Order: sequence, then C-alpha cells, then structure tokens
Amino acid sequence: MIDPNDTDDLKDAPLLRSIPQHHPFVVPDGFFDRFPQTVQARIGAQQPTSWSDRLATLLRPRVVVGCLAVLAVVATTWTLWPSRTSAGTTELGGTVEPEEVLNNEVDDELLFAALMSDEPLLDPVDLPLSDDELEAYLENEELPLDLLIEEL
Amino acid sequence: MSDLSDSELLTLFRKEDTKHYAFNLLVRQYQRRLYGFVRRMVTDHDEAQDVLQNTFIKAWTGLGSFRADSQLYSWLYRIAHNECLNHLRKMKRGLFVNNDTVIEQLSTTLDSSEHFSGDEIQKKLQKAVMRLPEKQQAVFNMKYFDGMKYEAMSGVTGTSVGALKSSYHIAVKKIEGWLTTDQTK
Repeated sequence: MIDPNDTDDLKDAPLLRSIPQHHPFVVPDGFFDRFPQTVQARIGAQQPTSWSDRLATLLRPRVVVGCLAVLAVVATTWTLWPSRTSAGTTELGGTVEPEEVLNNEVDDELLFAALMSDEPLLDPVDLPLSDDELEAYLENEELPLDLLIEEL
Repeated sequence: MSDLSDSELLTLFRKEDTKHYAFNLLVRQYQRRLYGFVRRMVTDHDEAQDVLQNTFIKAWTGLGSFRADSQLYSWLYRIAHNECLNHLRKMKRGLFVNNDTVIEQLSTTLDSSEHFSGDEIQKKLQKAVMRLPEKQQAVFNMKYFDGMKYEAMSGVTGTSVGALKSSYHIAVKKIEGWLTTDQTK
C-alpha cells in the first residue's frame, strides 16, 4: 500500500504517477497451489534421511577419486622416503640394522666397514639393576645362580 | 484459513513434529508478495520460480536461528533481494556480456512473454526499470510497487534511510526522463 506521505516522491514525475501500479505479470494457473509442495520436495531431496543415503553421499565419485589420490601420494612418499631406501644404507660407514644382518640383507663390504668403525655397533643398554641388586634379585627368586653361571 | 502470526509460525517450526507443516504455512503466507518482487527483478516466470525456491530453501536453513527482533517478512524479503542480485550477476557472468546485452535479453523476454498483462505504458515502465543499476532497481521496486517504508527497506538492503531516499529520487527522475523522451525500446 502506498503511503500518502511518500507520494511527494512522485510530484516531479507526472507520467510515472499516472501509470497504474498493479502487478502486470501473469502467473500460470495453479502455480501458488503447487509451489509449497515443490519447495518441500526440494528440501526433502537435500536432506539425507538414512545411512544408505549418507553412504551414497560419501561414495560420490569425486570423493572416491580424492581419497585414492591421497592414498597414492602417501604410498609414494612412504616408498621413496630416503631412510627406507637401500641407497641410504649402502654408503660405507652407514647404519646397519640388526634385522638386516639377520636377514642377510647387508653386503659384506658395508658390514666390514661397520665393524672397522670406531662407533659402537649397538647402542649401550642401561641395565635397570646394579650387579649387587641383580644378585639379590636372583637369590630372592630362588633361581639356580650357580647353574646359570655354569651355562654362561 | 487466516494467516498465523510470525511468532505462532516460529513456535510451530521449532517443534519437530510440526516443523514441515509450519514451513508449508509460511510459504503459502508469503509466496505471492515475494514472487511479485522477484518477478519484477528477473522478468521471466521460470527464473523467478527458481529464485523464489532458492529463497525459501535458504529460509528453511536459517529459520531455526532466526531472531524475532525483526519481522519475518523483512527477513524473507532480504533473502529474496540477495538472491535476485546474485541471479542477475550470475546472468552477466554466465553470458560474458555487458549490462546493455542483459537488458536487451530481459526486454526480449518481456516482449515475448505470454505472462504479461500490462498495457504498453506498463511495458515501457518495466523496460525502464530494467535499465537501472541492480540495487537501484530493487529500491525502486520495493518503494514504487510494494509501497514499503524506507525504514523497512533499510532493514532489507542494509542501506541507510537517507541513502535510500536519495537512490529512489534519482531512480524516479531517470525513469520519468526515459518515459518522457521514449528512450526505452
């Protein structure tokens, strides 16, 4: 509804003021009867209602391709990472892992270089008990200390 | 059926078992007025329908957090206003064309539309309104056709009352000039 106080806005526009202000656009028959259902249907279509719908959303092709791409990058990085390649350990003086020795995966030249090195082959192990404490522990457990010594 | 008040609609909407029912009532209550605004902005009926659907879908999403300190109609009008502006901008981007080409296209749509009942002068007016910049077009439509108060328009557009008055005054002047000199095609 036009506010009478606002009609002054048109005082300098006589032609515009003379034009009927009713809605000149026609709407197809029954449009406003159907429209609320159309909106509700679109709202319903946008809301995943069951787990299968949600799973279908998750398994959209773009998502699957994206996940595969990420997996491929992770796998490639894992394989080509320097510490995991043989190139990193075949240098003379390189690190020799005990598992590699057991599996006979170390070549002789590398093993020889490692043995001749001043660096210790294995990290020193800190025993939690002193000699006296160990002896007291074995006696307390009534272990045959003599037999153990003989076996050594 | 008499229309429910905004607060009654919101109360129904917030209950899970009456949520869809309340929203259906809301659409029925406001669809005609919003359609009028949207249709004048985008001209074509099918496009107006799309824009109006998007408006109500956004309303569905946001209605849960709607605060009753503003009128529901103003809030819906604001969403419709933004959707119209987005639609017109997308139209220009999609066609990779300038404003004149879009106006030309909208004019052609109006000329060929079966769904226009106005006389020749009303058609000229519609074409003149199309030539206004988008925001000014919205301001003119809200004021001239819907008779909205400047304060309410300010709530919809986020523009000050003074700036809206000025914008409307300029729009009226331009349109009167175009109608008088018959520059609209």
